[in-house]
Amino acid sequence: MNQEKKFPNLSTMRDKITECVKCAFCKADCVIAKEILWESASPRGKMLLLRGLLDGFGTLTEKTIKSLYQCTFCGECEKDCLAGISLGEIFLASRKDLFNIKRENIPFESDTLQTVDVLCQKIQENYNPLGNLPEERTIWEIGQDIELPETAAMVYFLGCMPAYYRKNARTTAQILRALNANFTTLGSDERCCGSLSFFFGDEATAKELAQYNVTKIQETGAKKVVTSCPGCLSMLKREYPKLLGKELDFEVIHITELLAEFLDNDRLHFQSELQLSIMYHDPCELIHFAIYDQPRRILKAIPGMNLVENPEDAITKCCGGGGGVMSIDANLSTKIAKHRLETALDLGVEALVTCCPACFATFSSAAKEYNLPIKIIDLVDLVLQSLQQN
Amino acid sequence: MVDVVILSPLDSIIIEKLTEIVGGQYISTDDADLVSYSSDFMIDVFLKPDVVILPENARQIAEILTIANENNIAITPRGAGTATHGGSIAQGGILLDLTRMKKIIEFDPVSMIAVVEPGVVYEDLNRVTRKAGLWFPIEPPSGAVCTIGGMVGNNASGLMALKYGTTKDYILALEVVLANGSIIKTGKSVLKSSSGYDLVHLFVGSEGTLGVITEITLRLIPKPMQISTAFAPFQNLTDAMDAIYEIRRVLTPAGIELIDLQTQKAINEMEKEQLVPEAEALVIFEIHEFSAEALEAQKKLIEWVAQKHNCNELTWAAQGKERERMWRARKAATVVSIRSRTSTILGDLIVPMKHVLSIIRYIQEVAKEKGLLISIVGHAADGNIHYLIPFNQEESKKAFAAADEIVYKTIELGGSVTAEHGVGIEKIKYMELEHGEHALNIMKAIKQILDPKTILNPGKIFPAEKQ
Repeated sequence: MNQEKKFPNLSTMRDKITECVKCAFCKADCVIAKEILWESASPRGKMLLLRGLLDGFGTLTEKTIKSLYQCTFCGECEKDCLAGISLGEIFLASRKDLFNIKRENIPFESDTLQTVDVLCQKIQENYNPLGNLPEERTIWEIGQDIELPETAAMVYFLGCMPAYYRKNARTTAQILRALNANFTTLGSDERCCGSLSFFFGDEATAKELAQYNVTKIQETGAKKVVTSCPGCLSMLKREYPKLLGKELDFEVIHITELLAEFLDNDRLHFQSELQLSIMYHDPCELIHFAIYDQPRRILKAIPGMNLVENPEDAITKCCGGGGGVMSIDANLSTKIAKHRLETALDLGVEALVTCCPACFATFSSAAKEYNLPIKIIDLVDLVLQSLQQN
Repeated sequence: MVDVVILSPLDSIIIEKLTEIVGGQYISTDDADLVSYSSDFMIDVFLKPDVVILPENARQIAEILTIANENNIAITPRGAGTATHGGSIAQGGILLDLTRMKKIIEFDPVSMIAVVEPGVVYEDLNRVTRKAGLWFPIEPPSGAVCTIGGMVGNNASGLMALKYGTTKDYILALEVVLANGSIIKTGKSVLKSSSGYDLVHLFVGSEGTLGVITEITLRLIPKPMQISTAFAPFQNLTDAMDAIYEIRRVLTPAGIELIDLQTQKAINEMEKEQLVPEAEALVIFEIHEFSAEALEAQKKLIEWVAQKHNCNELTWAAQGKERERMWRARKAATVVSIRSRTSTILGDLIVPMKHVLSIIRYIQEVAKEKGLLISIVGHAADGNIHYLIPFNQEESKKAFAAADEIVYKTIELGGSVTAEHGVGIEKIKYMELEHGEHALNIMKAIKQILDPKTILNPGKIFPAEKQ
């Protein structure tokens, strides 16, 4: 099979790949390259691997495949690339090709692709990557005194982790109710946003999920969608229009944007003092939408909250879990997360606060794995606690 | 063409012995690793080593070199692979990636000295030393990723060489593993010594051909707190150079950089907004001082001289985003102007200061005569000019002919073919022309003493000896 047929998506990007002058500036802020010293793990190394595959001087090995799935799509390499190359797009194209290659055409058993296939199949079958049943998606509502209307001005799109792990979804819904927001959810009609399918190269499933979720959102008549998961935000706001080839007729925002708006409009009144020193962690998808200020403003508005900034880095680096890395190589993700937690410990804070369920899970694993004396707290938990009277 | 030697291939017994030394985790013959180390910055050459090893310390390197020397196996040391002339790539043999050796062994703010392993990234060292107000001031554009070992290997310099010099000016002592596996320490943690031959500076700039550097002692200097950077667009290159000559005679800015019009346009095109003012010559001045008053005085002097030479739009930026934007534009300069072609020749010439204008005009003439787009950026105030000749396959012959002509002119003007990038494999063909047969033979004799089997980075600096 010729390379164009084997790697059709990559082949369309050949010019962009050869534009790379291999300066290695992309390595400067890459959390993966800082953790794995082998050049093959770095963005430049990946570009060389892809050039090798297209030009025939490289062969597909398990390490090549794994390397291509060891990218969190945090976007730091693109910021640092002097040639302005969209490396993320190229790496995504490589994953699409790897996903679509018939497994019998790969001359070895690939553990990485096996993991990819299992997870993608779970999403195709159950509409979530966690192995839960679709009908369990509303399990978070149990015990909640909650009745949601069929139509509303705003849809709270939960996402898989908040829905199945429950706490984030419950807290977010309670905040929305406390603030008298006119909202509903898609209930058991909600399906995975498609983020993992998308990043694992299963574009067809991502597109199907996008079409389905958009239709369901439109049926509620809502003109605004709020998410508590930055990954869902990124899919709905940035990728859905590209996948579906059209602009959406509703706005998509993150819960921190909504809360900051309430704060500005004097609708968010914190009641309780929470004596806590914290470092805030920026989820990559929020950085992509320049949402740095809103979470910080919310946290600073909570009485007693001492938000300590890192003088070395105004915006924190990736937790290590994005882009599917936590599923492919959990050990790598927790090692990267450990560095962020060590920074927080160096700053002398009691807790690291984030507003991303995926970052929360990665940090919690790392804190446990390395027995680090720091609390991991979800921003919405602090908001709800402070909204309630002592 | 690249003339690279292949010594003995590695067999499985040797791979096993090497694995015993470093552990299976730090040695690889996986094609993914061979491909990802197959090239470095800019050069359009792709060569695969037989094996890549990430050693942890000098002892391991000594054991690896002993095996390599006994079995005639080529060894290529490598830092971050940010050099531009193929100095850190290997056809066959062992590629030693030294980035695992990244400990800052000692930082002594009283003696103003740091002792580091070769894999320490330039900016990582300065992040530590600046807390004590000190720095290693070379500022290579690749400082966020390049290693100090690589800088020593190439005698790298950077954007501030006018005021602060080059890497060699800061190296006090080295630990080096020689080809036969012996470990030597040369130099001391002192600021001067007249004790015997200066072996430290023999290794600086030797590109891994004389030994593998495993520990570097370098001196640090106080970091000025007052910094200001200016963009000065000159509508005329002659005016720009006259201004630079005049400024150099009255003060020493940290750096004076020059970007030609073609590069300015490419930067603006890529950034989609006008990042730099367009003029025949855009000059960047950076001044470093310890007091605000001294900084202001220098700024006024530069403005006055620039105005005298018809530059009326000089704009200053203090530290912060605006200054970062200016330097990002300069750093991007070597990359953006080559995007439309498949290959590039990157020149690194240096001429005596009085000939800077002549060599720039000469490059422009060559470009015109051959119908090539050659862009020019450089450290105008120390005579180090980088020219980029991007070309497609059909332009290859005239691109290489243009590069040759520029080099011949450089030598004729009393200059050198490489000021800071090193020889690697690309500049070998000019070595005899620049140094003459006798001097080159002395270099070869030194190589012969230290590495009689030419296992260390073979095919670099000198043409490969056929085994």
